[in-house]
Amino acid sequence: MLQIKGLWKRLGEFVLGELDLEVEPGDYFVLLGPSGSGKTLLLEMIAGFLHPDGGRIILEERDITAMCIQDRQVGYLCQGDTLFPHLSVRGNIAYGLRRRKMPVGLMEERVEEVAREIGAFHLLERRIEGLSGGERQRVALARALVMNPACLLLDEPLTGMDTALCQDILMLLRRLNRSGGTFLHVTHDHTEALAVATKVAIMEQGRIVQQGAPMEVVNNPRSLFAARLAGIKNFFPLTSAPVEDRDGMVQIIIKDGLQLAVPGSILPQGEPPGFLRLEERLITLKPSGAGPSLEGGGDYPGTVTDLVPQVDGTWEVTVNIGVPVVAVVGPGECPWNPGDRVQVSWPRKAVKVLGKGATHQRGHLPKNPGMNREN
Amino acid sequence: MSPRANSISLVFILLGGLVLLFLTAPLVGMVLQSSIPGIMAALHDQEVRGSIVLSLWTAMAATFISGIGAVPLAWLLARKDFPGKRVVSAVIDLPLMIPHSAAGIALLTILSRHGVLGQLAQSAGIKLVGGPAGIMAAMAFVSLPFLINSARTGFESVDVRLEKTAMNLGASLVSTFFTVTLPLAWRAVVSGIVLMFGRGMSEFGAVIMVAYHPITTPVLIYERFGAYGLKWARPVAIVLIGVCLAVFVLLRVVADKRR
Repeated sequence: MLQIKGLWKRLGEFVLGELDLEVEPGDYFVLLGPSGSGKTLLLEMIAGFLHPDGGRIILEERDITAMCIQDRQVGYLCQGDTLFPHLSVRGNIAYGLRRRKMPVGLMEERVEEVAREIGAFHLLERRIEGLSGGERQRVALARALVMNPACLLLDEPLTGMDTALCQDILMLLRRLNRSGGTFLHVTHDHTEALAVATKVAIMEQGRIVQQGAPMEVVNNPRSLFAARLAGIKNFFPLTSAPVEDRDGMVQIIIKDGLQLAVPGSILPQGEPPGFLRLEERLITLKPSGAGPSLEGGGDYPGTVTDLVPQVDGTWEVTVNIGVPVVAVVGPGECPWNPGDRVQVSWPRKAVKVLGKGATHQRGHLPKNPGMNREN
Repeated sequence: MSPRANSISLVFILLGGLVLLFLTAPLVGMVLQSSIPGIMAALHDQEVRGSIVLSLWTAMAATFISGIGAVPLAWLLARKDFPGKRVVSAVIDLPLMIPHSAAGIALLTILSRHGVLGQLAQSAGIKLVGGPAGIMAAMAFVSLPFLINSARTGFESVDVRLEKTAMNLGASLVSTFFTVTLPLAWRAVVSGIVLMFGRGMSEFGAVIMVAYHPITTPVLIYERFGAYGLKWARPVAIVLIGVCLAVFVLLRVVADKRR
């Protein structure tokens, strides 16, 4: 198990942490965050290239915080192409074993075993310069895995690859994880994260703002950033506390003073409400003045501001109702054009009010019930 | 390509051609005005032979002995940040900026028997001024910037992530240097060695201040020119240029085979 306890580091104006993480054996833990959020910094501290200003890193009950890089038993795949260009594929994969002075026979056996597992056996005698992007990444993975690391750190391993290649490598990573590998993978791409993760943490400005099971994080984002990463379009911070209305309804106000009536029963329990989410696929658009809908969620007049075609034939239509709201229309021909006046309606089940979560806490993380391992 | 771009290219080619002409014309002229018997006579001249052998081995020794410190220094400059790094870089470039005769005078102040190094060497039985060790010191002083700067550029061009990966795979810092950094920066280091060797071997100004005798080939060319004139100096100069070119090609071939 990899445990990060109260880890922090100051680099100029940037402060990473305090961070607490637990990566259990067999976990595929994905740390999701934008560039500059401190993801690589964290990996570099775990790998030993940077020393933290405080906190501890524990790997399989050994405190490795101050341990030298070579003794940590942490595999690290840096971002980009890191194969040694002056060595063959075999030379690359055997590099670490040579440093361990493993007998040649055993070393060759181990290299070929891992190369077979990764699907790089046929490449062993090749030179690096002739390999494709996917082949290079396989060799880099084999080179790290041949050392049998307790945990493998992956820094944006799919950067610069086309979609088909990404799928290939993701499939390989899933298979390696299922066969027992423990991974800590950092990325800015939520689709990449969802494709492999058994646990996800969202990192923003050096802090972990949310962590849990992937679907739980996607369905219950606790920050604008997490919502954006999860691909959620209609996510609005509340500007004031809800006000009780009649018939069990409450009035909530989102940015720019737009007021919505929602059932009090959907307010989060045990934490203050922080965000409103509208499910874009449940929102309907009608011509302006079509009269109230029977769906009970709300009717708001607005103006179409943008249309974006989607690969599945649908359209994302942005309507300004005081705030920009995105509705999914179609599939088929889109009946709306920018500038059209429309009526925006949604059913009650399209509305979710989410708690503030850990967004405004610093240095402490929520004990998330969704952290149990799911496989 | 547009007519305007064409005419710009033409102007650049003409200007570049003039520079190349300026560089090659004196050498070609010197070769054309020399006679084969004159060159052969120079090749059989014991003094010329002796000076070439001396120039060759002192330049090689100066390059390899000072390279032991220069290459690690180049790595430090490429990889580490430390207070005064800019000053160190400027000090390394200093020999390129000062007249070499002045460099020779500066060297004399520490290499002569009144200087610190001179006294130390004398107590160890080594003659610096007027000896091969002094010649090597003068050669190294003026040519070290070529090796350090070239090696530094080479080390800087090696992706630091490759070094990190090597260390993550269990390599020590020293092992990483010899198994990853140096093999990848090899071409630049060899370029630096070639440049330093070539510059050292052809050094005149600093060497003549430190050691007129034993005589190196550049000093011999100067001596022959002063005593007998251009006709006697020219064949020796051609022989020296030929030897320099041969060594240059040889080192390049060796370096290419190692890649």
